[in-house]
Amino acid sequence: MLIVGIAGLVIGIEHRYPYLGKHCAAYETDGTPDFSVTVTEEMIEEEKAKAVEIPAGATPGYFESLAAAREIAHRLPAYDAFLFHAAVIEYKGEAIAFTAPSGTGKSTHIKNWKRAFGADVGIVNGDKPILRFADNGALYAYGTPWAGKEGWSRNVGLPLRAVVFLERGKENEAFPLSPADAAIPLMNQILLESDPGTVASTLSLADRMLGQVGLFRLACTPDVGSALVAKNAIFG
Amino acid sequence: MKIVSGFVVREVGGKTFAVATGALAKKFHGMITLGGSGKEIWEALQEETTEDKIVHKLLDVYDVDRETAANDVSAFLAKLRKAGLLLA
Repeated sequence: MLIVGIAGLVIGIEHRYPYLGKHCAAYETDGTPDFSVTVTEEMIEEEKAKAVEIPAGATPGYFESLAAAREIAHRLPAYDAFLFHAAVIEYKGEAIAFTAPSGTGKSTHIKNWKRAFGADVGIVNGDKPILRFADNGALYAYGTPWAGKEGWSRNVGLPLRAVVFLERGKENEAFPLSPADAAIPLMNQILLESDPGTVASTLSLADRMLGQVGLFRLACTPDVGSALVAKNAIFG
Repeated sequence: MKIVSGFVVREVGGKTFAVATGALAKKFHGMITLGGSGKEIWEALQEETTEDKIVHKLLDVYDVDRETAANDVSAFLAKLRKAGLLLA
């Protein structure tokens, strides 16, 4: 069994293809798992059927990895955590999450942060970070092995300062959002296909999150000015 | 009539959402936002009821005329029926 440490949890993964082990190398650990998941052939087939785009050279191992992420995601709410479809960066020790439908330009925007602020900016995760509430109530964003096309992934956890809902624009403009305005776009970026208890827990966690992090809508162009506008909105 | 079983209803950011779970989530993708009278209609549909009973309930709760309430209920039920979420 593969044992990984993600988001402060020790997780066991029963699997069959070598891809997953390599994919999770930076997260491998030892110890007694908090929980374990088992990936079956049936789950791998389901993952293939669900794929919106299949990358060139995708192997059964690749789909097994996605299935493992989904199985883990179903278990997270019991630990005050959930998987969030977003790209997360570090800025001066805090995390900022950017979320948008695929293809909106999250990667381009993050590259602009790198260009604008250099060493103050680091990657946390490019695609599927985990958000988890600490015992003191603070919300942390954690890197995971599931990091999207660029493979942007770092095994760290940082306090989440803000969530930015990205969209393309002709100009760079940022607006604060109320929790009510952010609720619908947020719901589209969290995994809700699960049993009633897990869904109820996930929704409660999402509600808590909306009440305690900065929320912004950013209309952005592909140029570096978009990062300056976003940073000023978040940090004043 | 009655709503199919499998929905979880929760407030997120002050908005009320009904989300399909378990086996229902495989058939019905997405979520329903329940605003205004939608919440009362949804609640009424948790047990076997009729369109007429739901309209009466709305008239008790809201200061609206019968026609407005009837239209609200009819439109909401039509959406649910179209999505295959109403039993009988």
